[in-house]
Amino acid sequence: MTPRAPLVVAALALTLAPSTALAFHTPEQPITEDTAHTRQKGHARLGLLKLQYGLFDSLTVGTVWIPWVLKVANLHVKWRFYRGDKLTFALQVSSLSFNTRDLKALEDKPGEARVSVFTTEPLASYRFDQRWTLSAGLPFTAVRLDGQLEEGAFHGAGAGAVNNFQLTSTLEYRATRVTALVLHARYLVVQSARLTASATLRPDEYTTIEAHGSGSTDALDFPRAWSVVSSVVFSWERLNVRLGVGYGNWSLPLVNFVLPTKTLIPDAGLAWYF
Amino acid sequence: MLVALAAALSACNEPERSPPKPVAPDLLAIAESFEAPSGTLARDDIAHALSLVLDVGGRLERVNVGAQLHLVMQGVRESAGDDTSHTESTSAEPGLSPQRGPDLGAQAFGVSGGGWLRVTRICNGWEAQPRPDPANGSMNLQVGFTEAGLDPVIWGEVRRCRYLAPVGATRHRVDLEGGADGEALRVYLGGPVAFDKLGDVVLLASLRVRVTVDDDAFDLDADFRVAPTSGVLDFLVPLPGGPVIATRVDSDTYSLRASNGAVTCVLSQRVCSLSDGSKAPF
Repeated sequence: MTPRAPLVVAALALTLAPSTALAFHTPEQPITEDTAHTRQKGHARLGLLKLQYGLFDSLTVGTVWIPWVLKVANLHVKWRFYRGDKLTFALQVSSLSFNTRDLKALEDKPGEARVSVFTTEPLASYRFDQRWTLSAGLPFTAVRLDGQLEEGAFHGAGAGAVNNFQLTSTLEYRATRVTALVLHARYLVVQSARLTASATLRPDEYTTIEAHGSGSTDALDFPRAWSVVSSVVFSWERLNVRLGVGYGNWSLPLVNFVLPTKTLIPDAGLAWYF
Repeated sequence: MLVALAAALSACNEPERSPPKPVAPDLLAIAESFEAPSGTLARDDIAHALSLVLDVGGRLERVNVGAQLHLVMQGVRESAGDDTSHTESTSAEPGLSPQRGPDLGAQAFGVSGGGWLRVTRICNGWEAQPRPDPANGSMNLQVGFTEAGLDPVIWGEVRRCRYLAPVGATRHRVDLEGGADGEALRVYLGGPVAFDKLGDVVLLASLRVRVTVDDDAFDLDADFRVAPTSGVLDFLVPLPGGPVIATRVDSDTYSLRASNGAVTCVLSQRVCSLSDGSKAPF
Protein backbone atom coordinates (compact mmCIF):
# COMPACT_ATOMS: atom_id res chain seq x y z
CA MET A 1 0.00 0.00 0.00
CA THR A 2 1.36 3.41 -0.96
CA PRO A 3 1.41 6.40 1.41
CA ARG A 4 -1.58 7.80 -0.48
CA ALA A 5 -3.72 4.81 0.33
CA PRO A 6 -5.17 6.21 3.60
CA LEU A 7 -6.31 9.30 1.74
CA VAL A 8 -8.07 7.12 -0.81
CA VAL A 9 -9.75 5.20 1.98
CA ALA A 10 -10.75 8.46 3.64
CA ALA A 11 -12.26 9.74 0.40
CA LEU A 12 -14.15 6.50 0.03
CA ALA A 13 -15.42 6.79 3.59
CA LEU A 14 -16.63 10.33 2.94
CA THR A 15 -18.46 9.20 -0.19
CA LEU A 16 -20.22 6.46 1.70
CA ALA A 17 -20.94 8.57 4.76
CA PRO A 18 -24.52 8.56 6.00
CA SER A 19 -26.00 11.85 7.14
CA THR A 20 -27.09 10.97 10.67
CA ALA A 21 -25.28 12.08 13.80
CA LEU A 22 -22.52 9.59 14.33
CA ALA A 23 -20.48 10.71 17.28
CA PHE A 24 -22.87 11.18 20.19
CA HIS A 25 -22.50 8.77 23.09
CA THR A 26 -25.45 6.50 22.44
CA PRO A 27 -25.97 2.78 22.95
CA GLU A 28 -25.53 2.34 19.21
CA GLN A 29 -22.28 4.28 19.19
CA PRO A 30 -20.08 3.10 22.02
CA ILE A 31 -16.51 4.19 22.46
CA THR A 32 -14.37 1.79 20.46
CA GLU A 33 -10.96 2.76 21.78
CA ASP A 34 -9.66 0.01 24.11
CA THR A 35 -13.05 -1.69 24.17
CA ALA A 36 -14.60 -4.70 22.44
CA HIS A 37 -16.93 -2.49 20.44
CA THR A 38 -16.66 -1.87 16.72
CA ARG A 39 -17.82 0.83 14.36
CA GLN A 40 -21.12 0.38 12.58
CA LYS A 41 -21.08 -0.79 9.00
CA GLY A 42 -20.24 2.06 6.62
CA HIS A 43 -19.21 4.42 9.40
CA ALA A 44 -15.79 6.03 9.28
CA ARG A 45 -13.66 7.81 11.79
CA LEU A 46 -10.90 10.13 10.65
CA GLY A 47 -8.71 11.25 13.50
CA LEU A 48 -5.54 13.26 13.70
CA LEU A 49 -3.70 9.98 13.98
CA LYS A 50 -6.07 7.17 13.19
CA LEU A 51 -8.42 6.27 10.36
CA GLN A 52 -11.07 3.60 10.90
CA TYR A 53 -13.92 2.22 8.84
CA GLY A 54 -16.67 -0.23 9.65
CA LEU A 55 -16.68 -2.87 6.91
CA PHE A 56 -19.44 -4.70 8.76
CA ASP A 57 -21.12 -4.03 12.06
CA SER A 58 -18.80 -6.61 13.57
CA LEU A 59 -15.63 -5.77 11.66
CA THR A 60 -13.63 -2.56 11.78
CA VAL A 61 -10.46 -1.90 9.85
CA GLY A 62 -8.14 0.98 10.44
CA THR A 63 -4.70 2.42 10.24
CA VAL A 64 -2.64 5.05 12.00
CA TRP A 65 -2.13 7.19 8.96
CA ILE A 66 0.62 9.65 9.87
CA PRO A 67 3.39 6.99 9.92
CA TRP A 68 2.60 6.21 6.28
CA VAL A 69 4.38 9.46 5.41
CA LEU A 70 7.57 7.67 6.52
CA LYS A 71 6.54 4.46 4.75
CA VAL A 72 5.63 2.86 8.04
CA ALA A 73 2.89 0.54 6.89
CA ASN A 74 0.36 -0.40 9.53
CA LEU A 75 -3.12 -1.87 9.68
CA HIS A 76 -5.44 -3.03 12.39
CA VAL A 77 -8.57 -5.14 12.28
CA LYS A 78 -11.06 -5.61 15.09
CA TRP A 79 -13.52 -8.45 14.89
CA ARG A 80 -16.40 -8.41 17.34
CA PHE A 81 -17.29 -12.06 17.45
CA TYR A 82 -19.89 -11.94 20.24
CA ARG A 83 -22.34 -9.30 21.37
CA GLY A 84 -24.87 -9.96 24.07
CA ASP A 85 -27.08 -7.61 26.02
CA LYS A 86 -24.30 -6.69 28.36
CA LEU A 87 -21.24 -8.63 27.36
CA THR A 88 -19.20 -8.15 24.17
CA PHE A 89 -16.09 -9.94 23.00
CA ALA A 90 -13.71 -8.98 20.23
CA LEU A 91 -10.28 -9.71 18.89
CA GLN A 92 -8.07 -6.98 17.53
CA VAL A 93 -5.07 -7.79 15.41
CA SER A 94 -2.64 -5.16 14.21
CA SER A 95 0.50 -5.20 12.18
CA LEU A 96 3.21 -2.68 11.44
CA SER A 97 6.27 -2.92 9.27
CA PHE A 98 8.97 -0.57 8.08
CA ASN A 99 12.59 -0.41 7.06
CA THR A 100 14.86 1.84 9.07
CA ARG A 101 16.44 3.17 5.87
CA ASP A 102 13.15 4.99 5.27
CA LEU A 103 13.68 6.97 8.47
CA LYS A 104 16.44 9.14 7.02
CA ALA A 105 14.33 12.19 7.73
CA LEU A 106 14.64 11.39 11.43
CA GLU A 107 18.10 9.89 11.63
CA ASP A 108 21.32 10.47 9.66
CA LYS A 109 22.37 6.82 9.77
CA PRO A 110 19.20 4.84 10.21
CA GLY A 111 20.83 1.60 9.12
CA GLU A 112 19.16 -1.13 7.15
CA ALA A 113 16.82 -3.10 9.32
CA ARG A 114 13.31 -4.41 8.83
CA VAL A 115 11.09 -3.89 11.86
CA SER A 116 7.85 -5.83 12.08
CA VAL A 117 5.28 -5.57 14.84
CA PHE A 118 2.36 -7.91 15.40
CA THR A 119 -0.19 -7.37 18.12
CA THR A 120 -3.08 -9.58 19.02
CA GLU A 121 -5.49 -8.39 21.68
CA PRO A 122 -8.56 -10.19 22.94
CA LEU A 123 -11.03 -7.66 24.31
CA ALA A 124 -14.09 -7.89 26.48
CA SER A 125 -16.59 -5.20 27.45
CA TYR A 126 -19.32 -5.41 30.05
CA ARG A 127 -22.05 -2.81 30.09
CA PHE A 128 -23.48 -2.49 33.58
CA ASP A 129 -26.11 0.03 32.54
CA GLN A 130 -26.54 3.03 30.25
CA ARG A 131 -23.74 4.87 32.00
CA TRP A 132 -21.15 2.39 33.15
CA THR A 133 -19.06 0.08 30.95
CA LEU A 134 -15.99 -1.87 31.96
CA SER A 135 -13.60 -3.25 29.34
CA ALA A 136 -10.51 -5.41 29.58
CA GLY A 137 -7.83 -6.36 27.08
CA LEU A 138 -4.89 -8.71 26.89
CA PRO A 139 -2.57 -7.27 24.23
CA PHE A 140 0.34 -9.47 23.23
CA THR A 141 2.86 -7.68 21.05
CA ALA A 142 5.73 -9.23 19.19
CA VAL A 143 8.35 -6.97 17.65
CA ARG A 144 10.86 -8.46 15.29
CA LEU A 145 13.96 -6.84 13.85
CA ASP A 146 16.10 -8.12 10.99
CA GLY A 147 19.10 -5.96 10.29
CA GLN A 148 22.18 -5.68 8.17
CA LEU A 149 25.13 -4.08 9.84
CA GLU A 150 28.05 -2.53 8.08
CA GLU A 151 30.57 -0.07 9.35
CA GLY A 152 34.32 -0.04 9.08
CA ALA A 153 35.78 -3.48 9.58
CA PHE A 154 32.50 -4.94 10.72
CA HIS A 155 29.94 -6.69 8.61
CA GLY A 156 27.06 -8.64 9.97
CA ALA A 157 23.41 -9.24 10.38
CA GLY A 158 21.15 -9.36 13.37
CA ALA A 159 17.67 -10.47 14.20
CA GLY A 160 16.01 -9.35 17.39
CA ALA A 161 12.65 -9.81 18.98
CA VAL A 162 10.85 -8.13 21.82
CA ASN A 163 7.80 -9.76 23.33
CA ASN A 164 5.36 -7.81 25.39
CA PHE A 165 2.24 -8.87 27.22
CA GLN A 166 0.00 -6.43 29.05
CA LEU A 167 -3.29 -6.28 30.89
CA THR A 168 -5.53 -3.33 30.22
CA SER A 169 -8.71 -2.16 31.79
CA THR A 170 -10.99 0.69 30.76
CA LEU A 171 -13.82 2.09 32.84
CA GLU A 172 -16.24 4.36 31.02
CA TYR A 173 -18.85 6.60 32.56
CA ARG A 174 -21.27 8.40 30.28
CA ALA A 175 -22.32 11.57 31.98
CA THR A 176 -24.32 12.87 29.02
CA ARG A 177 -24.60 11.98 25.38
CA VAL A 178 -21.81 14.49 24.79
CA THR A 179 -19.50 13.83 27.73
CA ALA A 180 -17.95 10.61 28.89
CA LEU A 181 -15.27 9.98 31.46
CA VAL A 182 -12.76 7.24 30.80
CA LEU A 183 -10.25 5.72 33.16
CA HIS A 184 -7.70 3.53 31.41
CA ALA A 185 -5.18 1.39 33.25
CA ARG A 186 -2.34 -0.79 31.94
CA TYR A 187 -0.11 -3.31 33.63
CA LEU A 188 2.96 -4.86 32.05
CA VAL A 189 3.00 -8.59 32.70
CA VAL A 190 6.22 -9.32 30.85
CA GLN A 191 8.49 -7.70 28.30
CA SER A 192 11.48 -9.69 27.11
CA ALA A 193 14.03 -9.43 24.33
CA ARG A 194 15.86 -11.98 22.27
CA LEU A 195 18.49 -11.53 19.61
CA THR A 196 20.14 -13.71 17.04
CA ALA A 197 23.12 -12.15 15.34
CA SER A 198 25.88 -13.05 12.95
CA ALA A 199 28.89 -10.93 12.32
CA THR A 200 32.31 -11.04 10.75
CA LEU A 201 35.13 -9.20 12.47
CA ARG A 202 38.69 -8.45 11.38
CA PRO A 203 40.57 -7.61 14.58
CA ASP A 204 43.83 -7.57 12.62
CA GLU A 205 45.13 -8.37 9.14
CA TYR A 206 45.79 -11.98 10.03
CA THR A 207 42.58 -12.83 11.85
CA THR A 208 39.03 -13.19 10.64
CA ILE A 209 36.31 -14.08 13.12
CA GLU A 210 32.88 -15.21 12.06
CA ALA A 211 30.58 -14.91 15.06
CA HIS A 212 27.15 -16.42 15.55
CA GLY A 213 25.23 -15.77 18.71
CA SER A 214 21.83 -15.68 20.26
CA GLY A 215 20.60 -14.65 23.64
CA SER A 216 17.83 -13.21 25.67
CA THR A 217 17.70 -10.64 28.41
CA ASP A 218 15.40 -9.39 31.08
CA ALA A 219 16.79 -5.88 30.65
CA LEU A 220 13.51 -4.71 29.14
CA ASP A 221 11.29 -6.30 31.75
CA PHE A 222 10.38 -3.57 34.15
CA PRO A 223 8.80 -4.94 37.30
CA ARG A 224 5.63 -3.25 38.43
CA ALA A 225 5.29 -1.18 35.26
CA TRP A 226 1.83 0.31 35.09
CA SER A 227 -0.02 3.40 33.97
CA VAL A 228 -3.35 5.04 34.64
CA VAL A 229 -4.83 7.68 32.34
CA SER A 230 -7.98 9.61 33.02
CA SER A 231 -9.67 11.25 30.06
CA VAL A 232 -12.75 13.17 29.09
CA VAL A 233 -14.30 12.28 25.76
CA PHE A 234 -16.59 14.86 24.18
CA SER A 235 -18.67 13.65 21.30
CA TRP A 236 -20.84 15.94 19.28
CA GLU A 237 -22.70 15.29 16.07
CA ARG A 238 -19.63 14.49 14.02
CA LEU A 239 -16.75 15.56 16.17
CA ASN A 240 -15.01 13.67 18.91
CA VAL A 241 -12.49 15.26 21.23
CA ARG A 242 -10.52 13.36 23.80
CA LEU A 243 -8.42 15.04 26.48
CA GLY A 244 -6.73 13.49 29.42
CA VAL A 245 -3.66 13.02 31.49
CA GLY A 246 -2.21 10.14 33.37
CA TYR A 247 0.87 8.83 35.09
CA GLY A 248 2.99 5.73 34.87
CA ASN A 249 5.08 3.76 32.40
CA TRP A 250 3.99 4.94 29.01
CA SER A 251 3.19 2.22 26.50
CA LEU A 252 4.24 3.58 23.14
CA PRO A 253 1.38 3.45 20.65
CA LEU A 254 1.67 1.09 17.68
CA VAL A 255 4.49 -0.98 19.16
CA ASN A 256 3.11 -1.28 22.70
CA PHE A 257 6.65 -0.94 24.02
CA VAL A 258 6.59 0.03 27.69
CA LEU A 259 9.08 2.67 28.76
CA PRO A 260 11.17 2.07 31.86
CA THR A 261 10.44 5.26 33.78
CA LYS A 262 7.18 6.62 35.04
CA THR A 263 6.16 9.97 33.62
CA LEU A 264 3.10 12.10 33.05
CA ILE A 265 1.16 10.70 30.12
CA PRO A 266 -0.84 13.08 27.96
CA ASP A 267 -3.90 11.85 26.14
CA ALA A 268 -5.38 13.89 23.33
CA GLY A 269 -7.39 13.08 20.26
CA LEU A 270 -9.52 14.72 17.66
CA ALA A 271 -11.65 12.82 15.19
CA TRP A 272 -14.41 13.34 12.69
CA TYR A 273 -17.13 10.80 12.14
CA PHE A 274 -18.70 10.16 8.75
CA MET B 1 -9.20 -20.18 16.43
CA LEU B 2 -8.01 -17.35 18.67
CA VAL B 3 -5.35 -19.53 20.19
CA ALA B 4 -4.17 -20.64 16.75
CA LEU B 5 -3.99 -17.07 15.55
CA ALA B 6 -2.08 -15.95 18.60
CA ALA B 7 0.30 -18.86 18.26
CA ALA B 8 0.91 -18.07 14.60
CA LEU B 9 1.69 -14.48 15.38
CA SER B 10 3.95 -15.48 18.21
CA ALA B 11 5.85 -17.83 15.93
CA CYS B 12 6.51 -14.96 13.55
CA ASN B 13 8.38 -13.27 16.36
CA GLU B 14 11.11 -15.84 16.80
CA PRO B 15 14.37 -14.55 15.30
CA GLU B 16 16.05 -16.63 12.65
CA ARG B 17 18.42 -19.10 14.13
CA SER B 18 22.15 -18.89 13.65
CA PRO B 19 23.90 -21.90 12.18
CA PRO B 20 23.87 -24.64 14.80
CA LYS B 21 26.62 -24.52 17.34
CA PRO B 22 29.21 -27.21 16.58
CA VAL B 23 29.71 -29.91 19.15
CA ALA B 24 33.13 -29.72 20.76
CA PRO B 25 35.30 -32.80 21.11
CA ASP B 26 35.77 -34.30 24.54
CA LEU B 27 39.25 -33.73 25.94
CA LEU B 28 38.52 -34.69 29.53
CA ALA B 29 40.41 -37.98 29.28
CA ILE B 30 43.56 -36.16 28.14
CA ALA B 31 43.09 -33.53 30.84
CA GLU B 32 42.79 -36.25 33.47
CA SER B 33 46.00 -37.82 32.19
CA PHE B 34 47.84 -34.59 32.90
CA GLU B 35 46.36 -34.32 36.36
CA ALA B 36 46.92 -37.94 37.27
CA PRO B 37 48.92 -39.91 34.70
CA SER B 38 47.86 -43.53 34.66
CA GLY B 39 51.14 -44.90 33.30
CA THR B 40 53.67 -46.57 35.53
CA LEU B 41 57.39 -46.12 35.14
CA ALA B 42 59.58 -49.03 36.13
CA ARG B 43 63.30 -48.62 36.55
CA ASP B 44 63.87 -50.76 33.43
CA ASP B 45 61.51 -48.59 31.36
CA ILE B 46 63.33 -45.34 31.96
CA ALA B 47 65.66 -45.56 28.99
CA HIS B 48 62.81 -46.30 26.58
CA ALA B 49 60.67 -43.58 28.15
CA LEU B 50 63.45 -41.05 27.82
CA SER B 51 63.93 -41.83 24.14
CA LEU B 52 60.23 -41.10 23.59
CA VAL B 53 60.47 -37.95 25.68
CA LEU B 54 63.33 -36.64 23.59
CA ASP B 55 61.53 -37.57 20.39
CA VAL B 56 58.22 -35.87 21.25
CA GLY B 57 59.88 -32.97 23.04
CA GLY B 58 62.24 -32.40 20.16
CA ARG B 59 59.44 -32.33 17.64
CA LEU B 60 57.40 -29.89 19.70
CA GLU B 61 60.41 -27.65 20.06
CA ARG B 62 61.13 -27.73 16.34
CA VAL B 63 57.64 -26.57 15.37
CA ASN B 64 57.48 -23.92 18.13
CA VAL B 65 53.76 -24.59 18.30
CA GLY B 66 53.27 -22.80 21.62
CA ALA B 67 53.92 -19.43 20.00
CA GLN B 68 51.46 -20.18 17.20
CA LEU B 69 48.80 -21.10 19.75
CA HIS B 70 49.29 -17.80 21.53
CA LEU B 71 48.81 -15.91 18.27
CA VAL B 72 45.48 -17.64 17.65
CA MET B 73 44.31 -17.07 21.21
CA GLN B 74 45.20 -13.41 20.86
CA GLY B 75 42.76 -13.23 17.95
CA VAL B 76 40.04 -14.84 20.06
CA ARG B 77 40.61 -12.32 22.84
CA GLU B 78 40.41 -9.47 20.38
CA SER B 79 37.02 -10.69 19.22
CA ALA B 80 35.72 -9.71 22.63
CA GLY B 81 36.35 -6.07 21.89
CA ASP B 82 39.89 -5.63 23.16
CA ASP B 83 40.87 -4.45 19.70
CA THR B 84 40.36 -0.99 18.33
CA SER B 85 38.07 -1.90 15.44
CA HIS B 86 34.77 -0.09 15.66
CA THR B 87 31.52 -1.94 15.23
CA GLU B 88 27.88 -1.02 15.29
CA SER B 89 24.81 -3.01 16.10
CA THR B 90 21.14 -2.77 15.32
CA SER B 91 20.62 -5.12 18.20
CA ALA B 92 17.42 -4.95 20.15
CA GLU B 93 19.30 -6.55 22.98
CA PRO B 94 22.41 -4.76 24.17
CA GLY B 95 23.98 -7.79 25.77
CA LEU B 96 24.75 -9.23 22.37
CA SER B 97 26.03 -6.07 20.81
CA PRO B 98 28.85 -7.02 18.46
CA GLN B 99 30.63 -3.89 19.68
CA ARG B 100 31.64 -5.87 22.72
CA GLY B 101 31.78 -9.11 20.80
CA PRO B 102 30.20 -12.02 22.58
CA ASP B 103 31.22 -10.81 26.02
CA LEU B 104 27.84 -11.58 27.48
CA GLY B 105 28.77 -11.52 31.10
CA ALA B 106 29.58 -7.83 31.42
CA GLN B 107 26.04 -6.52 31.57
CA ALA B 108 24.33 -5.16 34.64
CA PHE B 109 21.11 -6.93 33.77
CA GLY B 110 20.39 -10.60 33.27
CA VAL B 111 21.52 -12.03 29.97
CA SER B 112 21.41 -15.63 28.90
CA GLY B 113 22.55 -16.98 25.61
CA GLY B 114 25.57 -18.05 23.68
CA GLY B 115 27.00 -18.79 20.31
CA TRP B 116 30.18 -19.69 18.57
CA LEU B 117 33.04 -18.17 16.67
CA ARG B 118 34.98 -19.43 13.68
CA VAL B 119 38.43 -17.95 14.04
CA THR B 120 40.73 -18.03 11.02
CA ARG B 121 44.29 -17.00 11.69
CA ILE B 122 46.55 -16.62 8.63
CA CYS B 123 50.00 -17.97 9.37
CA ASN B 124 53.04 -15.71 9.22
CA GLY B 125 54.72 -17.38 6.28
CA TRP B 126 58.35 -18.05 5.55
CA GLU B 127 59.45 -14.52 4.76
CA ALA B 128 61.62 -12.66 7.24
CA GLN B 129 58.81 -10.15 7.63
CA PRO B 130 55.45 -11.87 8.33
CA ARG B 131 52.73 -11.12 5.78
CA PRO B 132 48.98 -11.79 6.04
CA ASP B 133 48.96 -13.76 2.81
CA PRO B 134 46.33 -16.54 2.57
CA ALA B 135 48.94 -18.54 0.65
CA ASN B 136 50.73 -18.93 3.99
CA GLY B 137 47.96 -21.20 5.18
CA SER B 138 45.91 -20.82 8.31
CA MET B 139 44.67 -22.22 11.56
CA ASN B 140 40.87 -22.39 11.65
CA LEU B 141 39.30 -22.83 15.06
CA GLN B 142 35.81 -23.23 16.42
CA VAL B 143 35.19 -21.39 19.67
CA GLY B 144 31.95 -21.77 21.59
CA PHE B 145 30.80 -19.29 24.20
CA THR B 146 28.01 -18.61 26.65
CA GLU B 147 27.34 -15.78 29.07
CA ALA B 148 29.85 -17.54 31.37
CA GLY B 149 32.62 -16.98 28.83
CA LEU B 150 34.45 -19.25 26.43
CA ASP B 151 33.50 -22.89 26.32
CA PRO B 152 36.21 -25.20 27.68
CA VAL B 153 37.24 -26.67 24.32
CA ILE B 154 38.53 -24.87 21.22
CA TRP B 155 39.22 -27.00 18.18
CA GLY B 156 39.76 -26.91 14.48
CA GLU B 157 41.97 -27.58 11.50
CA VAL B 158 45.37 -26.54 10.26
CA ARG B 159 45.69 -25.77 6.55
CA ARG B 160 49.23 -25.63 5.15
CA CYS B 161 50.24 -23.33 7.96
CA ARG B 162 53.67 -21.93 7.15
CA TYR B 163 55.84 -19.97 9.53
CA LEU B 164 59.41 -19.62 10.73
CA ALA B 165 60.33 -21.39 13.96
CA PRO B 166 63.44 -20.26 15.80
CA VAL B 167 65.50 -23.07 17.21
CA GLY B 168 68.60 -21.61 18.73
CA ALA B 169 70.00 -19.03 16.34
CA THR B 170 68.43 -20.66 13.31
CA ARG B 171 64.97 -20.06 11.90
CA HIS B 172 63.45 -23.12 10.29
CA ARG B 173 60.69 -23.27 7.74
CA VAL B 174 57.73 -25.08 9.25
CA ASP B 175 54.70 -26.35 7.37
CA LEU B 176 51.80 -27.84 9.35
CA GLU B 177 49.04 -29.74 7.63
CA GLY B 178 46.11 -31.18 9.53
CA GLY B 179 42.91 -32.86 8.53
CA ALA B 180 39.54 -31.15 8.28
CA ASP B 181 37.94 -33.46 10.82
CA GLY B 182 38.53 -31.10 13.73
CA GLU B 183 41.18 -33.40 15.16
CA ALA B 184 44.21 -31.43 13.97
CA LEU B 185 44.20 -28.95 16.82
CA ARG B 186 42.20 -29.20 20.02
CA VAL B 187 42.66 -26.96 23.03
CA TYR B 188 41.23 -27.48 26.50
CA LEU B 189 40.96 -24.43 28.74
CA GLY B 190 40.11 -26.30 31.92
CA GLY B 191 36.58 -24.87 32.12
CA PRO B 192 34.61 -21.83 31.00
CA VAL B 193 36.94 -18.85 30.74
CA ALA B 194 36.06 -15.17 30.49
CA PHE B 195 37.35 -13.64 27.27
CA ASP B 196 39.63 -11.23 29.06
CA LYS B 197 41.11 -14.08 31.10
CA LEU B 198 42.08 -16.20 28.12
CA GLY B 199 45.64 -14.95 28.29
CA ASP B 200 45.95 -16.11 31.89
CA VAL B 201 45.10 -19.78 31.59
CA VAL B 202 47.23 -22.80 30.82
CA LEU B 203 46.27 -24.25 27.43
CA LEU B 204 46.12 -28.00 27.10
CA ALA B 205 46.58 -28.71 23.40
CA SER B 206 46.26 -31.85 21.35
CA LEU B 207 47.95 -31.67 17.95
CA ARG B 208 47.59 -34.20 15.11
CA VAL B 209 49.39 -32.81 12.08
CA ARG B 210 51.83 -33.61 9.33
CA VAL B 211 54.89 -31.46 9.82
CA THR B 212 57.62 -30.43 7.45
CA VAL B 213 60.57 -28.61 9.00
CA ASP B 214 62.81 -27.48 6.18
CA ASP B 215 63.01 -30.73 4.20
CA ASP B 216 62.31 -33.11 7.05
CA ALA B 217 58.74 -34.43 7.15
CA PHE B 218 57.18 -36.28 10.07
CA ASP B 219 53.86 -36.80 11.83
CA LEU B 220 53.29 -35.02 15.09
CA ASP B 221 50.74 -36.56 17.40
CA ALA B 222 51.21 -34.84 20.71
CA ASP B 223 49.29 -33.71 23.76
CA PHE B 224 50.95 -30.88 25.63
CA ARG B 225 50.33 -27.89 27.87
CA VAL B 226 51.35 -24.34 27.10
CA ALA B 227 51.93 -21.71 29.77
CA PRO B 228 50.15 -18.36 29.42
CA THR B 229 53.34 -16.43 28.67
CA SER B 230 55.98 -18.98 27.79
CA GLY B 231 56.24 -22.14 25.71
CA VAL B 232 55.41 -25.76 26.29
CA LEU B 233 55.12 -26.65 29.97
CA ASP B 234 54.87 -30.40 29.72
CA PHE B 235 53.69 -33.08 27.36
CA LEU B 236 52.23 -36.53 27.41
CA VAL B 237 54.42 -39.52 26.61
CA PRO B 238 52.54 -42.68 25.64
CA LEU B 239 54.10 -45.75 27.21
CA PRO B 240 52.85 -49.34 26.99
CA GLY B 241 51.73 -49.15 30.60
CA GLY B 242 49.84 -45.88 30.09
CA PRO B 243 50.76 -42.25 29.58
CA VAL B 244 53.24 -40.38 31.73
CA ILE B 245 53.88 -36.64 31.77
CA ALA B 246 57.24 -35.17 30.82
CA THR B 247 58.48 -31.70 31.73
CA ARG B 248 61.51 -30.06 30.23
CA VAL B 249 63.24 -28.47 33.22
CA ASP B 250 66.12 -27.10 31.16
CA SER B 251 68.01 -28.08 28.04
CA ASP B 252 69.73 -30.89 29.93
CA THR B 253 67.05 -32.01 32.38
CA TYR B 254 63.63 -33.65 32.08
CA SER B 255 61.27 -34.81 34.77
CA LEU B 256 58.67 -37.54 34.35
CA ARG B 257 55.46 -37.97 36.35
CA ALA B 258 53.86 -41.39 36.51
CA SER B 259 51.25 -43.01 38.69
CA ASN B 260 53.94 -44.65 40.76
CA GLY B 261 56.14 -41.59 41.31
CA ALA B 262 58.37 -39.03 39.63
CA VAL B 263 61.74 -39.23 37.97
CA THR B 264 64.21 -36.49 37.13
CA CYS B 265 66.82 -37.24 34.52
CA VAL B 266 69.99 -35.34 33.61
CA LEU B 267 70.86 -36.14 30.02
CA SER B 268 74.54 -35.21 30.16
CA GLN B 269 75.09 -37.43 33.22
CA ARG B 270 72.85 -40.23 31.86
CA VAL B 271 71.33 -40.74 35.28
CA CYS B 272 67.85 -40.33 36.73
CA SER B 273 66.83 -39.61 40.30
CA LEU B 274 63.76 -41.48 41.47
CA SER B 275 61.27 -40.16 44.02
CA ASP B 276 62.48 -42.72 46.57
CA GLY B 277 65.92 -41.13 46.43
CA SER B 278 67.61 -43.84 44.44
CA LYS B 279 69.54 -43.31 41.21
CA ALA B 280 68.98 -45.09 37.93
CA PRO B 281 71.54 -44.83 35.15
CA PHE B 282 70.35 -45.16 31.58
